[in-house]
Amino acid sequence: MTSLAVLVDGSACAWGAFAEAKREKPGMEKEVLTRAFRSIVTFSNVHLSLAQSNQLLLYAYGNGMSKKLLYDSVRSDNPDSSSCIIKGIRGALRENSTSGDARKCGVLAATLATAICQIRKAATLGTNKSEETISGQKGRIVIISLLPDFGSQHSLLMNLFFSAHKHDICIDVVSLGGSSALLQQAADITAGVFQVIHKIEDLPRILMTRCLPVSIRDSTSFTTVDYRAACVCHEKLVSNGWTCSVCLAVLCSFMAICPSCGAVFKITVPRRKRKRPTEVGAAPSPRP
Amino acid sequence: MDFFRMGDSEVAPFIAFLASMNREERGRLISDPSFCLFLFRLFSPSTQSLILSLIWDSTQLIRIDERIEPDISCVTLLEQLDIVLQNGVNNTKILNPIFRRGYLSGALEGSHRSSRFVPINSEKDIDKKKKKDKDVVKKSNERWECLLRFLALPSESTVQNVSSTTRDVLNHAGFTSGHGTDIEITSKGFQFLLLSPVKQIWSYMIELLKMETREGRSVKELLDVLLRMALCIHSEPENKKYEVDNSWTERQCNFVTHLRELGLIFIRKRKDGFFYLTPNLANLCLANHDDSLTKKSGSIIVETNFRVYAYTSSSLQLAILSSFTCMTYRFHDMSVGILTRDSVRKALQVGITANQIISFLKTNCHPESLSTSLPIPITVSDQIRLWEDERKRLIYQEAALYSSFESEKVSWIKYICII
Repeated sequence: MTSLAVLVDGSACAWGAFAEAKREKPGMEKEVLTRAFRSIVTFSNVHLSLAQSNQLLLYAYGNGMSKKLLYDSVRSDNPDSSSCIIKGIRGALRENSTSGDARKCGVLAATLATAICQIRKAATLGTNKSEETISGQKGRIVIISLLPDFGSQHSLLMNLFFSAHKHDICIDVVSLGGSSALLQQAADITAGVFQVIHKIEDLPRILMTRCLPVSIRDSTSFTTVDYRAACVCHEKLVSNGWTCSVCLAVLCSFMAICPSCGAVFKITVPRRKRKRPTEVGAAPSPRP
Repeated sequence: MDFFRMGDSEVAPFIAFLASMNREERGRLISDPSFCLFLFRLFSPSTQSLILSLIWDSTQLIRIDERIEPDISCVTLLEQLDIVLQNGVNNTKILNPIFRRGYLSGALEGSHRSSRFVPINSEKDIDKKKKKDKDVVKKSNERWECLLRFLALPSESTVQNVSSTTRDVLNHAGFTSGHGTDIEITSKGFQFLLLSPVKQIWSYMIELLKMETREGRSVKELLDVLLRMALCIHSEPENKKYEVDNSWTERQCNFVTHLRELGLIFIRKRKDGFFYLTPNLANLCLANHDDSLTKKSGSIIVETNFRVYAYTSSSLQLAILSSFTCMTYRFHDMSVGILTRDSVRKALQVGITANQIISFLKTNCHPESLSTSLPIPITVSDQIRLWEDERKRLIYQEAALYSSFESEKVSWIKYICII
């Protein structure tokens, strides 16, 4: 048995912008969305049709959502998966659109953490029942993302990716909103697939051929992965930075007190070097 | 004799049956979305992956010479089922467009909706339902046990519990011999008893379908009902009830009654107008490769000194067990036997294989011994295999002997003959 968790971006704003960008002509936005959701439904059904014991978990991530888990094929009372998935996504988007939150970044961490826990739970239950250790992959997570930016959740997500890797959970990312360095890392760490979709017509094909447990996977899907870390202070990707010796937080400029753990650095830094960060900008405002 | 091969061959028995059907009937089945979904589930992962890449990647064509070995066996299997067709031009093969369409529309609708059964939601009596659920599971298991008991110990009392259709199927399959009250189990029947529940139900169904085909009746009607029911299988199937379809033909109705008798579905009263699916039916959705998932704990403990303890009073289990063990003590809820060379050889002589014996012991293991790493001591399983190999020491080959040559000159011919 395999568990598959599909994490769909629940930001209504982003879906709207996506539909507008990908439509063929004005007024066709609805077509684009229908197509995208239909692909998700088909993908879920194909996963369920691979084996009777397969489990499907559908999550949406976004702001102001009361319910993260939209559909669980094992526990749900309604066996009609197609209508449940469509209803779930629609409800999530509606809830998000009325939440009044206009932040332009995804809030993936909490949902991803729940998904990993659920898959772990299903895997341990499964092994107890059949008394056999399931070899290889325990489960998969497919993230269908729209917003490439994850704001302040960078370090949280990195930790989650590593723990997913530790539990043999593979994360595949299908990005509809352009390349995202962070999600690329996620796929690279967990031996998953990272795909950017340019045309909505490609979505079902990519999902079916690359993101299912039975898919043939080649490791050469991406050659260079941007492994730069984001700094704690401004969420900028930095290649050279300062690292807190206590909590290993990455900072783009020197700070006397670590913003993440509060450690105080008593090192006397040469005068010239202390000047530099203020020149770069994004530093404390100049005193009058 | 595909029955003998079924245990170790990779292909699910239903697929083998499908390959043996005539082309027209198979074509009619493949056009049905629910059938496509069901069939897809039974394929091995590599075949599934091949089909998926063919469906979604229109540029993908099968060129046999570019494929590696395991793929070729998938392709030949799919070709036998008419799912992959010869393109004619430049030695390529394409996916059958009818199957493609069927599978896609099935995938879009989802397995439950394509089964076209209407579930009935009863919210009001949940407490009562809980109690009933246990009932459904227990009763369905009892029904299937009845069949097995009839097979293992044909007698006046067990004959009453099975219908004439069941008896016909078992007789046609060669599991029993004789007619009327004088019925005896054959060695093939014993092998059937040793199979895991999944394989038992499948091979019974296949024999039923074979019997129908032999009598010249189309199996499409029956498969239609059966597969659609199997698609409805969900976690805890016994909690859901479905409406009885009024458009069923008389033959389909009879078939449903037969399924009820086997314990695959449960109908409380015929006039209620709804039926429950049982966990036994769920066995039909499992392909061979996930057989191990249905492991239920049994009552048998095997010790390293070849002693077998069975904590059961079921006469069926004991009858099966005594076919390859030498029973020493029998108490009312527990029996003791010893696996001896003679007793195992007796079983081997009637055509039961060592693997079947070992897998029977494994599937019916006591939970206590399941918790250890090796449910059956390795010494015992090895010894049973060795006893089987003992019988294969001689290899027979056709040969000719030339003798009594008159002249000494041709004695070299003798020499060649000996080589």
